Formats: sequence, C-alpha cells, structure tokens
Amino acid sequence: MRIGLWSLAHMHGYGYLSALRRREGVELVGLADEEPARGERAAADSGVPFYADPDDLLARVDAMVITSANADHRAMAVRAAQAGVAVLLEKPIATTYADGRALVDAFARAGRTLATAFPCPFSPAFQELLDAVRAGRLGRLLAMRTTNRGSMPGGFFIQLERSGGGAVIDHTVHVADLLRRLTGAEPTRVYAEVGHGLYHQEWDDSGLLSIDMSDGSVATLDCSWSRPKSYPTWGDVTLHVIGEEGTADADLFGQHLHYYPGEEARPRWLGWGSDVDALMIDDFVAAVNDGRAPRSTGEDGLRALEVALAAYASAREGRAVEIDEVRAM
Amino acid sequence: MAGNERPVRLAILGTGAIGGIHALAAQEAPEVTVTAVWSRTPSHARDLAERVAATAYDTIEETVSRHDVDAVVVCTPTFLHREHAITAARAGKHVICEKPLARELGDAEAILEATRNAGVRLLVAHVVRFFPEFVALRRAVLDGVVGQPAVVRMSRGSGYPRGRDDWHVSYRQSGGVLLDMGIHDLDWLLWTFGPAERVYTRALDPVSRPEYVDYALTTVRLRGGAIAHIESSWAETGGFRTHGEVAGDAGLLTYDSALNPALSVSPRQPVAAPRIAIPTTYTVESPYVTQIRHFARCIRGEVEPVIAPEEAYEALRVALTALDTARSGQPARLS
Repeated sequence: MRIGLWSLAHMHGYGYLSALRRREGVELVGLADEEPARGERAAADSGVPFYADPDDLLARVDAMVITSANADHRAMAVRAAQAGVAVLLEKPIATTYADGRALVDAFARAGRTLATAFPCPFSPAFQELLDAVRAGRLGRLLAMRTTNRGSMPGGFFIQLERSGGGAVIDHTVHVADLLRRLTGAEPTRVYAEVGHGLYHQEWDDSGLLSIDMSDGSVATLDCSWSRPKSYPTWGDVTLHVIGEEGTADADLFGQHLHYYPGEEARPRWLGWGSDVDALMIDDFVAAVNDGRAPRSTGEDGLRALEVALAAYASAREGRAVEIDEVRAM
Repeated sequence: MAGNERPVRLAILGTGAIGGIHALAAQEAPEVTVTAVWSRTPSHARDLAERVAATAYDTIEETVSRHDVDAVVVCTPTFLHREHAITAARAGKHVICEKPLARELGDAEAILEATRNAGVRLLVAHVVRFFPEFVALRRAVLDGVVGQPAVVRMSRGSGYPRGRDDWHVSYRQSGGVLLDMGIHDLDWLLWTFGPAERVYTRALDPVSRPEYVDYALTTVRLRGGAIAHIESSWAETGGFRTHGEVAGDAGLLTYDSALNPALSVSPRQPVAAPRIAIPTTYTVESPYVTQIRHFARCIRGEVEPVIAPEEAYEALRVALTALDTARSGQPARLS
C-alpha cells in the first residue's frame, strides 16, 4: 500500500512516521506540510520526497495520515476524500460539530475509509479490561473515575484558532472513546468545570468532566495539563472502574522503568509497554486493504468530539449539557 | 500537658467502631480519661467500659448528668447526633461530636444553638485535620510550594462499612458514602482552599444501587479559583486508601497511601477484614490521639480549636448540597 503523511503540526506525526517506516507492506511515498521547512527536514530524515503541493502526493497514494492542527482537519481530510484517498486522521477529528460531521460525510460519499487516530483501544491492558467486562467479571458497570492528564504541549495546541480549545479538547476525546467501548453505551450529558489556573491564559489548561452514560453509569474525567515540566513522563491515561461484582484499575501507560540520571536532570519513566501507535497503524492499513471498518471510525471520532464540545458548552453556561444539544450548536 | 491540670473526664456515647477508637485513643492521652460509657446495647457498653476502666450506664440522661463527666463524645450513628449532642449540651457538658456533625442542616443548626446557649464547646471530630499526611499537604500548599492552586484531586475509599445494625445502608440515617466519607475531603478542601462556589456530584442512586456498594464523584469549584475532584468510595475490594493531588501554577504535589506504605504485614493465613476499615498511620502518635488531646486542651481553655463549629456546619452544607445535585443532575451554587 502506498501511503503518505500530511502535516507535522501535531507531534504524533513523528511517531506515526517512524511506525510507517518500520512497517512491512507499506510504501511511504512522501510528506506534505504547510510549513515546508519542517516537512522537508522530516522527509529528508525519512529518506522520502517532500511534496510542496499536497495534491501531487494525494495523486500518488492509497492512504494518508493527517496530523495537522485540529482546525485544518476538515479542509485537508475532505480534499483527501475527494481525491479517493483513505485517511487516518489525528484526534480530535475537528474543532466544531459541523466540521466533524462534514468530513465524516465526505468519506461516506467518496466510499473511502476514515479512521480516527485513537491508539488507546489497542493497549493490551485495555483489551484485557474490555474482555473482563464483556465476560461479566465486573458485573454491571456503575461508575468510572478516569484521568488523561498531561503536560502543556505548546505549539498549535495553545493557539485557539488552530486548536479549537486547550486541555479539554486535547484530552477529552481519548477517554470519551474508551468509555463508549467499555460500557457499550453512549454519553448522554456532560458537566464540566474548566480551568485556566495553571497557565493563566485565554486557553483552558484544566478540566474536570462528569459524564452520564446511556446505560445509567456515570464517569468523571480529569483532562488537565497538570503535569509540570519536571514530571517524569508526558502524562497518563487511567481508569478506575466500579462494577456491581468487582472493580478494575487500568493505567494504560503504566509499564515503565524508573530512570534516575546521574547528573542533575529530572528522573524519567522509560515506557516498555506495547507500541500502540504501531498497532493502530497496522489496523488502519489492514482495514484499507481488506475494505473493513477500522477500530476507530470517523463516527467514533465524532462521538468523542461531542463530549469535549459539550464540556465547553457546560462551562460557558454553568449547567449540565445534553449531548443532543451539541449537535444543534 | 500543662503540669498538674486535672484530666478532662469523657463519657463515650456509642460503642461502634469509632466509639471504640476514641475510647482507646483516650488511654494514650494524658489530658483525658474515660469515666462513662453508654450504648443502645447495654452489654456493648459494659464490654467497652471494662476495657478502659470506666463505668457503663443504661441511659443517656444518667450518663451525661454524671458529676465525673466534663465532656461527652457523640459516637452514635449520624442521624442520632442531634438528639445526643443536644442532651449533652443541656446537661452542661462539652460536646465532642463525630463527623458528619448531623444528617440534616436543621439538625446541625439545632446542635450549634444548643451548645451556644449552654456555653459549652462543640468540637467536631474531622480527624483528617490531624492526619499528618493531610496536614503536610495543606502546609505545603499554604507555603506556596505549588504556587497558586489550580486543580485538586482527593480520594478516599474502602470496602462497605458493616456497622452494627448495618445503619450505613440506610441513606436516611447515614447519607451514604458522600456524607460519611466525602465530608472528610470536603472539610479538608474548605480548610485548605477556602469557600466553595459551585458543586456537582454523580453518585449511585440510593434506591437502585447494589447492596453494599456506594460511590460518589464530586466536582467543586472553589471561590479562590481552583477546581477540585473528590472520589468517595465504599466500593473497593482492597483496604483503606487515600489519595491527594494539588497542581498549581508552579508545581505539583501528590500523595497516595497505596504507593508509600511505611509498613505492611502479610500473614500467610488469610485474615478476615475488619467490619469497618480505618486508615492506619505509623506515626509516634495516632491522629485520633492527637485529636482527643487537642480537644481536651480546647476544653481546658488552653488553645482554640483547629475546627470551629461553623466550619463543620459548612462542610455539611456543601456535602448536602452536593447530594442534592446527584439527584437534580444540575450543579448548585453555594451562596
């Protein structure tokens, strides 16, 4: 399969690039980037051509990984769909419901695959948790306390016109997606306290979401950029699950060595868990090859985005917001 | 202690888990002595009285009116606090009351009024204010080590408490896990960061929840600007666990009882879990001893209490408001 990568605005692009280069059965055709210097450098490092005109790259590939700034997703993804190219799209899939809906529909019309870049479902620990839940080992699910805390990423993430928001839009969608998978139910209403107290900027740096699910279970999510620069790793994805028959704890990036450098540097956690980015790309490639749905579709991405948008609406209005309201906003 | 001062003489009302803890803590506190014990079940009163060399009495009236009682420790189930605290106050005795202060706000108001009118102390046993890890966390925050606080996370969890008569099961009597356990963290939050502005809770429905499982997740916006998350759990399968985290604009503080145990002893033969899990602190003095010694000094007029009655009232008000939001599904402002 011929595959390209478009935009390195999101740092995940570099990880996907390295996974693509290692993968057999995939030909990395080239890179496009709205910032030519950045794209040319990454293309040279990967030993592939840089395409100044993305349409030239689109004409040469079956599939494209798009890791641009959130607000650019719609235009780029729709352009790819119209060129008949399948897309693995970085999360959140858009910054507004209308943009997300439009790009998902564009792939449906074009009959091409759209996958949302959610690597967490590929975590073996999460898979095991899902198996335990489906086998009924926890009984009926009652509540989930979750975190997706991180460090402040900088870059486009803190340019509101390019990101669509701060910590809440960045770190809500992963767990919103995991909650849907875990419960097999849909989020119905969201309440959020959104904060600016870590960096005192116009963009939100913290958020505490309360999410009601359609099966009657309830969840909270801490999506804050509350890990300082001195923290030993980028952040976490954790779930504490309360079931009628038992409880479970998942720490999806908990597999790590503790590294204490000899000099006066911060200690670090060196992860040794499975490469979920590579597993996600494998699934995307297989889905495109086999003409089946990827693990996370565009619709999955849209459902998760709705939770983040509901959180912002809740914070604006100081009340719990129904997910249905977001679709009308 | 101040030289030759006479110990404060305590009557313990209620001989459940926490009544026993106070009575035994008193044995290690030179400032107090237990002279009287009462329980709804006379044999329970006799058992505890024997352990602490006190006298068991059959009625509350007799217990609180004894001349050899200076202060009454109310350790009965939450919904009985009002009746028992007021009875003690009217007998002119200082009142040490277990948390939460009462089951309803009106009950708490009546207790405050009765103790005020009687001119006696009302000391509410929010013992987390004496737990060294939470004192240290608060101290560090107030010292500014994380700068201005922005995101706070508190968690307190254990298995379901199996008190006598299973009174915790009755939402009307106990208020469930948020009122019984969450109030500790709400009180710590208000003590450390100041007043709450808005609160929202998702909790298991008191009617449809499974037997012996209770769980609540509360979000608080503080007037000072920070946002806070409180997990209150009677749904855990392990022992007692607490967690705290304060992220500010200049750093992050975290504490997790499970990650830093000073001691854990594991017999090869399984041991039955206690009916009510109580956290253990391996410090020279147990927080319950520190607390009862402090309360004795307050009663002797040597120090001012670290917790004013109005602060216990406010923690209760926030907790009850949070419980309301669990039903209404909408946040509530705290005026």
